[in-house]
Amino acid sequence: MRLLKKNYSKRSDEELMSLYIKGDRKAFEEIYHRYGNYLFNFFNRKLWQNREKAEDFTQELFTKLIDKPEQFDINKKFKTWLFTIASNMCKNEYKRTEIRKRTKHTVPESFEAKSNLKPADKTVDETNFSVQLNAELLKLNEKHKEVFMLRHFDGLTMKEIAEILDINVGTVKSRLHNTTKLLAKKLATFNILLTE
Amino acid sequence: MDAEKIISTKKFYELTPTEKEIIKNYAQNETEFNEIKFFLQATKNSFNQQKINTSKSLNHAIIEYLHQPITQKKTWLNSIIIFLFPKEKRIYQTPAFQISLAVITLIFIINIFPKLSKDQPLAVNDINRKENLTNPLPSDNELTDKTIELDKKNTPESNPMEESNSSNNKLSVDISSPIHEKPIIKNNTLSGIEMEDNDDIEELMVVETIIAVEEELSLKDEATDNYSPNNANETNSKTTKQRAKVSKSKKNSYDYSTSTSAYKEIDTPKTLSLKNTSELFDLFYISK
Repeated sequence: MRLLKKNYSKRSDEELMSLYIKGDRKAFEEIYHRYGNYLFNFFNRKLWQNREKAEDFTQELFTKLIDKPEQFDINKKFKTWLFTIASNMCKNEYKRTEIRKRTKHTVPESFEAKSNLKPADKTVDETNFSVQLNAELLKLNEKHKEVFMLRHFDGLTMKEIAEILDINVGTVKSRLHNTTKLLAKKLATFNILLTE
Repeated sequence: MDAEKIISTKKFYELTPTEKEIIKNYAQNETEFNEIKFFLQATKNSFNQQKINTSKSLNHAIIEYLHQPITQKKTWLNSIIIFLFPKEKRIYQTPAFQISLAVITLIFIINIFPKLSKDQPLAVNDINRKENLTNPLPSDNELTDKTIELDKKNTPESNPMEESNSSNNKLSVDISSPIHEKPIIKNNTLSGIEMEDNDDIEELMVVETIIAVEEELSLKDEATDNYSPNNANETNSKTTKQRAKVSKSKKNSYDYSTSTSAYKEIDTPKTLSLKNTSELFDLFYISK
């Protein structure tokens, strides 16, 4: 049994999907094992840190895959296809609830930047860095923020990001350089404090 | 190699000229390089801390769904109910309510609206009425011809199989000729009246002959009683007219529908022998 599982883990996503289309359900278990957490975090991030909603969306996406695996084109890359579906689901959710505009201009309570931020000292830790980082991310342009998050939070390559967002790789690179440099400059104070 | 990977794995003094060329968009000096390096590492740590795992219930639900039999997944009826009665909408916004309202409206339009519109004095199409006024009513002869025609259609002979045979039969009906006129013999056939039995035709002819003879006799009696040289022509013309009337009324009063229906059961040849019929007609017209 262990040998069989190892065999599945060595296979590519596309191979696993083709096996599942042929009726091998264990192959789909491996796919869920690989991307379950990925997509759950993706939905959680995109849907305003709403854990329940993220679970619902994850379940919906995987049940769709279970019911209609033949919709996947084996010649394409599975990871990109999966994230594209997830991204489209989020877009539909934005349209449906019309909350996108509000989230663009307002900051959720849990991620509000501390207005009475104390002068930097040695007590500033990584948690404060995270809070500040999220606050700065919310101030960013949606396009730049999306590229940055897909790269650093979801761990996708530039080519994959380009495919998911349907833009050029050059555009992805330029957006990523600009965002990284901007945020690095704004959060440079943490570097000084932490290294001292 | 990726610029971010170079920055996060190497130190500034370790960089080769090519690597420096790759990372020049991010950092051009050591300070910027260190800032970016710190930022990338801190961001990675921050995001790793933020990451959450799926709940056991979600994992269980998806795996259970995966191993369900395929037939159980087709719960289309539930989706219809959800579609018709969505929970988040008000009652008048539900599709079920709106569809039923549309159906009621349609029923009202189809059934009730035409009845209401009948009472209103709207424009009346009286073209047919005018046409009827311009076209005179059909004469008695035409009507009798039509009744014969209808009668012919109602008889079992009118079915196509028998009609095909009737072309070979010697009896044929000439509708165009009035029935009170002398029947025309065409190719040894009787036209004008359709008969099925020789005996019946003979019987009819005999009856008519008797009636005609009786009338002749009665008219003769009247003529002898009221004879005068002046009104001799008048009486002749009168007698011919009366004779014609009587014969016509007798013939018209003969119920062909009943006669034909009565003959249905008799399976006899439809042809009449020329000898019998011609002799009878000769006798009939001589007597007249």
